[in-house]
Amino acid sequence: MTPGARRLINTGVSGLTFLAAVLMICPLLLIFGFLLYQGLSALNVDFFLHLPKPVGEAGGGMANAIVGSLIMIGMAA
Amino acid sequence: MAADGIVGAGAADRLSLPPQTVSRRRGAVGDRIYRACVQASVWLVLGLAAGLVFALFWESWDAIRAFGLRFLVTSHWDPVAGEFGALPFIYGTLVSSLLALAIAAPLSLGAAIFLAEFAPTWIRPPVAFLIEMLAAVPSVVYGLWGIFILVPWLRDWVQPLLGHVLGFLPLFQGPPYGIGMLAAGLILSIMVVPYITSVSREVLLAVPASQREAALGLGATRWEATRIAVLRYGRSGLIGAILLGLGRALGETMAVTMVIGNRPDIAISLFAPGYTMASVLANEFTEATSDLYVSALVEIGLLLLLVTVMVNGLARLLVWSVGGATRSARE
Repeated sequence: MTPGARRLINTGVSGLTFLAAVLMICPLLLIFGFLLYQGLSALNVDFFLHLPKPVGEAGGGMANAIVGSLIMIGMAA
Repeated sequence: MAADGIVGAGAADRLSLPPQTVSRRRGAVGDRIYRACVQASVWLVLGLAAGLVFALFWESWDAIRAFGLRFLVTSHWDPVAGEFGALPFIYGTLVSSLLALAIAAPLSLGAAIFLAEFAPTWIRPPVAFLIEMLAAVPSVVYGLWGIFILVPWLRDWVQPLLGHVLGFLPLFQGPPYGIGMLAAGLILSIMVVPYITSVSREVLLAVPASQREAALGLGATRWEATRIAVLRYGRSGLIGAILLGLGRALGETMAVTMVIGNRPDIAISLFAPGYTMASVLANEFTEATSDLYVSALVEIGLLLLLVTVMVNGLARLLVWSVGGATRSARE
């Protein structure tokens, strides 16, 4: 194999592995983008402090879920 | 105690001993208590694991006695009539995990080779960090993202295209639901990628530098040095990394449950919905009405545990064989 061909294969492989690394970071960015895009509008102080309202009413928060998670993590750690 | 073992010294009393032996005797009691506490915690953890396996056997004993080996080879899952065959779940688990590996293994190995060999030094920490952040996303968030973003994309773009171009293969036939084995395999592959990448990178970095230098010294390009010296040396460790990813994929529950369609059927097509062992446990455990039903579900859990433990154990052994046990303890 000529030295030029070997060098070309080397560049090709290094490009492919770079592409693989970039391809793997994409889902992370997509997931964060999706979460921020859909969820940012609902993020306010109410979310952390209030309990959920009954189905159909606007507003309310997720305080029970957050406190429950914290208690569980605190016990486990 | 140590002094009692000195031969020929006669009766050893406190004043005739060297100073360090005296302080060793005084601190010995504290050392023994500490050692007992640490050993107790080890036995406690092992006991918990053994208790878990025992409890699973105990609960599933009714189903094991009622069905025996038929449980593993029949596909009739009928809770109303009391007929339980677990073959669709075993099939679903294996197919989704193998599909995930087929997608994730080449990409992860490529990224690991990039991080260990080709990347400039300044780019390695951020890229490695970002890839490992994939492991920090909770499984439920993956499922949510799957339902809202991945499944519509599959249903509207990917599956029609695949059915059009590769529809002669039985793998790509059937209506493009979006939700099904393909979605589950894709999400699992994303979840498995950080594990394979980080362990593979450790394995590649554990290869002695002399191997790489010898190949480079003989005139190899960077890729040739990697292929000849590093990959061949770390081959068993890389297989171990892939098996670790398999172990993770086998047990993954929430993300798969949300996108696999939950239909207890065996279908060749990747577009069709399926069911995995972990999904059936998550979905049906709270609604299991009869004792035999609960027992059959616990038997599925026991099967899953045994398979996952075997795969993970084999993976650990392979990874340790490359870098030594101390290296993997850093993970």
